Amino acid sequence: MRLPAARGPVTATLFERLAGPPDDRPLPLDVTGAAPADPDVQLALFACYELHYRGFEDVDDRWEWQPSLLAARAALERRFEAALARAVPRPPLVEPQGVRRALNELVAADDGPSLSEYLARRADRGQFREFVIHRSIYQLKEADPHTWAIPRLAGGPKAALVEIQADEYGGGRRERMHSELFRATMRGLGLDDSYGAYLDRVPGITLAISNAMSLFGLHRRRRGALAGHLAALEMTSSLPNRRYAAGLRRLGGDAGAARFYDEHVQADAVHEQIAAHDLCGGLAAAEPSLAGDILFGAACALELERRWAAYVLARWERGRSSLLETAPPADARQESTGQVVGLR
Amino acid sequence: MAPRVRGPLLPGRRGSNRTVRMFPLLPAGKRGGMANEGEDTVTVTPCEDGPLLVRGPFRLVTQDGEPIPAGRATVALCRCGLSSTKPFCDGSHKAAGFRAPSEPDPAA
Repeated sequence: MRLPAARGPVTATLFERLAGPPDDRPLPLDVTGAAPADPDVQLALFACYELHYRGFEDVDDRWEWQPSLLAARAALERRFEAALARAVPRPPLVEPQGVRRALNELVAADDGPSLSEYLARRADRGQFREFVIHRSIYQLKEADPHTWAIPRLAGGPKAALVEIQADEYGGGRRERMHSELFRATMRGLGLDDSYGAYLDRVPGITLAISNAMSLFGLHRRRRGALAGHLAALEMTSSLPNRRYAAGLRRLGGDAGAARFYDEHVQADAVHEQIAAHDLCGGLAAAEPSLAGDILFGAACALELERRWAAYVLARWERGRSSLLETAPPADARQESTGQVVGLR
Repeated sequence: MAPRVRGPLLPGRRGSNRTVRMFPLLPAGKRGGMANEGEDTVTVTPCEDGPLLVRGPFRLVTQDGEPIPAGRATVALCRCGLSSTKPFCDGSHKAAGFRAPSEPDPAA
């Protein structure tokens, strides 16, 4: 993957520096005036995080740990964390043994618009392709952000997370890795399955979904939130994936293209039990002070998903694309569409 | 201890020569370890308001003995009766409000 096009002054400044050799001149990013989920800020944060995953072909790998870059990333993260804190009410504190039940209640209370029902019954092929493009930002690195927690946990919660992640990675068999199954879905829809191919096409809210995982994953202090985030993903996955599979088959998708969704119906029915009880319940029991952040991480996952689904459906209902039509111009001040439901 | 049979686990399956229990259901309690790896105990865990999680060197077969591909090391088997992917769980228990404790009911 190469650096995407800048979407505003923050990414313009950042990408210009990343294109050169690493150095420790200050990298001042003016994020003070920007809405925290401004696409410019989200793309800048996404690029900073990507240095820890697969990186960019046109960026020197040494930037990953360059202090000037880390200072800039910290400024972006402060904005994002503040935005999440404002957007997501902190769930009431519960005793460690109540974490599992509280997770169930959070998920049951989730009243977001049902994108999965729309995809199952009404979406056309172009809309399904858009849906897959949005998801590709995360699903081509599916499971990777949560893997950061493995060395930060011990005992039962660590074993639980490994059990889930091993399955995400296909039990060590490439053709069963969820990211590989997703690539087959992309190919089945005639999409480019290469990593990051559609980074230029997605709005800020789609980037925010990935950035929340990376934020929680790359900071040990947020390990509780990361565990809760994973549990929320798993606990809201089986039934929607059944609908995605039905929608894709309705639109002519074959078994190979639908396999990713079929696989998630059964896999996540397993994972949600392990994530809620053994991972989150176990972590709260081992480290009671994390109980609140476990629930907050879950609430963040649900809220970002809700806002993303609302954004996509609102665009479709107006007969418009939910994607950026073309790569944004480098001097764009902001991408207006991402502001509609972005975190402020 | 339950009696066990040693020998080929699944006919024609890459000469597999693992151990299988004839009556593998031990009381659920401790979490199972890494399935199929140096462990000969199958663990079945009833999840509160949810499915049965099965770990260990299990095999699923139809009543006629035909293998049912598990697809993964740990599986969740439907316990509410509503799954569309039986014998596996598909999460339908949540929408249906299925209730069942993890502990034996009634308590032993």
